[in-house]
Amino acid sequence: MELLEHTSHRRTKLVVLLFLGTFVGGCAMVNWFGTTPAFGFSHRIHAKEGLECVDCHAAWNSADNPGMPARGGCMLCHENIDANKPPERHVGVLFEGDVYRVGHGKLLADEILFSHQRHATKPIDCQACHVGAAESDHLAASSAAGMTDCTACHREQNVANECATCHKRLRIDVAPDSHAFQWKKLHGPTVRAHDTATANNCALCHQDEKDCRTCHQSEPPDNHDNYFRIRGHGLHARMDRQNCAACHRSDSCDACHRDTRPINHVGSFGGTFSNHCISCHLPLQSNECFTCHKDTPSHALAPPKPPTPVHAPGMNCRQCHGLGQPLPHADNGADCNDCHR
Amino acid sequence: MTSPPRPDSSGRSLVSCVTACLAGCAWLPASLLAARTASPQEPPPQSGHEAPAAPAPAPQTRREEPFLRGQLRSHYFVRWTGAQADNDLVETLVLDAGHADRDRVTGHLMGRLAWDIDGTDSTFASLSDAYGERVDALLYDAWIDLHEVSGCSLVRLGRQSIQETPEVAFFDGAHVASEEFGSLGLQFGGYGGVSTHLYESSRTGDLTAGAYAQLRPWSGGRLRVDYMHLEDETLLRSHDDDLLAAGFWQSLGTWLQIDGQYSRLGDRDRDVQGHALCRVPEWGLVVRGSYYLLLEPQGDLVLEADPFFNAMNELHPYDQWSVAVGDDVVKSLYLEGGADVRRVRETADIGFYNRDYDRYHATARWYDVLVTGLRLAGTFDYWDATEQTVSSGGGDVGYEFGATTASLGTFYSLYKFDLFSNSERDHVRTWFARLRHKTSAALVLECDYELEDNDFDQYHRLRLGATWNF
Repeated sequence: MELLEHTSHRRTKLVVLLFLGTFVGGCAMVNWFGTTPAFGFSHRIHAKEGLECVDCHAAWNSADNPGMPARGGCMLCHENIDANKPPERHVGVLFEGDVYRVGHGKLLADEILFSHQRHATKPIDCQACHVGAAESDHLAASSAAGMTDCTACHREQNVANECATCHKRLRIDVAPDSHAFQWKKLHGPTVRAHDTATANNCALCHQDEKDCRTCHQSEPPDNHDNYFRIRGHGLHARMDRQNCAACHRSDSCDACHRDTRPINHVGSFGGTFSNHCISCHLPLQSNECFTCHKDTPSHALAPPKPPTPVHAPGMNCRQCHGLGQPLPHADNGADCNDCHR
Repeated sequence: MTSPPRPDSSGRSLVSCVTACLAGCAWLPASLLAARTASPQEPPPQSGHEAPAAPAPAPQTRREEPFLRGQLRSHYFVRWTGAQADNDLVETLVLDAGHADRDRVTGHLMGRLAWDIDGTDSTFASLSDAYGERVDALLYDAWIDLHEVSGCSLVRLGRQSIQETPEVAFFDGAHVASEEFGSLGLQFGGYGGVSTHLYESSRTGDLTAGAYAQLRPWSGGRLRVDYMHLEDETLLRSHDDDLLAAGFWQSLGTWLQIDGQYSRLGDRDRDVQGHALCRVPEWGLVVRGSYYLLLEPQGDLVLEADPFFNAMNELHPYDQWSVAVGDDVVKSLYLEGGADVRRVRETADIGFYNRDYDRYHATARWYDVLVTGLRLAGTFDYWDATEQTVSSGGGDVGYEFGATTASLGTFYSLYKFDLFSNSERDHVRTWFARLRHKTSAALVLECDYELEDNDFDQYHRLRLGATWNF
């Protein structure tokens, strides 16, 4: 049975490790294979040719969306340039009909409010937000301004910097999607990671550790159910007591345990025939009896061995005492010297 | 067995009265006021960047916030099994007064009151019942900050805690921090006062004091050194321990953050730890890892550094590695998996309270499944420790419609452990249903029911809650 269980543990471990390995490996492969540059628009080449941003993004100062180049506009030059290129490198492949197949233009989530027009009225250079765009062959998502850049600039310019300035829905008093359900069970690892990525940055809304306390001091974590209250907390503490220390100090253990007997201490538990002795006769320091019973006063009351030469240490007690008869102890004389000293 | 002496009776009974009055006085008018002054519900989410909706009502700025503001959380619990039942009311009050940018003095208070409505019932006994009284009140924070004090970035007086110290400092006293000086951003701070030990009966002989210095010598980097002196006197023992710690925090570009800390206890090394966090926003990928090494056995120490010695004996040296990977696989699906491995350094130290373990965990969240607002989540957790395993798994389905969120789910845990013969198996199955309704920006109502079926009994819990932000 034990062998079967051991095999089952190993199999579970193997499955979990395989899952993690596949996950990490898959991400790595996406990285390696995904970096091969595909044919696309190069801002660098066009900037070098002297084109301005406005030449392609004509609506940059008149609409929320700056607009994308039209096929006809590109063809003004590319009709000749593409004449000697293979078809897959014609500028036409960047269009569906007359509409530019844009990648980076969709980086802003639907939930974000942003207007190029509003920003065009300020003395802000395009490169202030689109850092490195003019030198880029393939505009990466990371080249776009992030929330940190936006809020920093808004702060410097002394303009509105509230959540609602840029977000349609997300606000300090509106929980994000991730908080919708089972968040009480799931939020621990995210919080402990101290992640500063926008989606996982608790500090964006929860600006002080008192926010954690507000909940945690009024209700326990979800896994603190009745089983946990009765027995589970001990099982978890045996494995990782530092986890408990996130909220509790040892004075709270003492507060309960001074008053509460373990659930198995009922009926004849503790009597001389009780099996509880079996655990005590193991090395005392390493078992859970020691949690409360720092010493064993009842054992000290056991009659000492008579001071006669035959009661030397190492003698086999059972040679004389109760030979063939049961002793009034659960261990049946395996460790007499523990109590009868 | 007798009840232990009422802890810190002067503080607790006073706190008890104050918090009870505050909670009682605040709750009824608060609920009425919240209902009357509630602002309209925020507009539903809009879609389409090209056609932005009417701007959402902006939240109040700091300057518009009232002088006195805070939160009151009220939760009523009823638990029952068979013929036995337990009714509890828990109130948590958070109050903030003033604004740091315009007031010379600001204040903060946080307290919790638990009222066992129908008296102590041993079936549902918990920490709040440990002193045999029906009302248990705790004061966690009560401080004032003095602003515009020359050369100081912080002057805080009262009951407070500091999280960044080698052990969390929780005390009644003062904390002063200087401004940052020079191009290195050098800053000094000091604190001291009577330790706050919420469950001890006497404050005599308890002391927390310390000093720290930190600087930002280069871009994205921070160094900090801490010294902490702690004294703790209890009925049978008294302790006096010193902690020394040094740490660094460094951001490398926008994608990697690392930090490390080392600490000493008295004249002996205590522990070393390091963390790394890597983010690749383009892929929605987050990878984090950490290492912890406990260098010396930790025994009977001051409460703040105590490794639960009274209950679990010494904590022996061990190494622990942790790694977790999370990724937005597609826009609406988030997966996370991770592992923690702990190894006790000396095989001879492995025992009942010092175990090796491997822990694996995984989480999946899937938003807007089939219809907008419908969500699924699943989580799995597996601990494989010496002679003990705990596996847990669960999932729930939730649906958000307007200001209301409803969810239904189940959770199952299997505890296998060695109580003498390695044959114990405890099964815990929980079913739950939850309803959360946001009546306004100020008031949130909650209701949930839980059925727990474990090897001891079947337990039911109904919880009604209201959170009022004012």
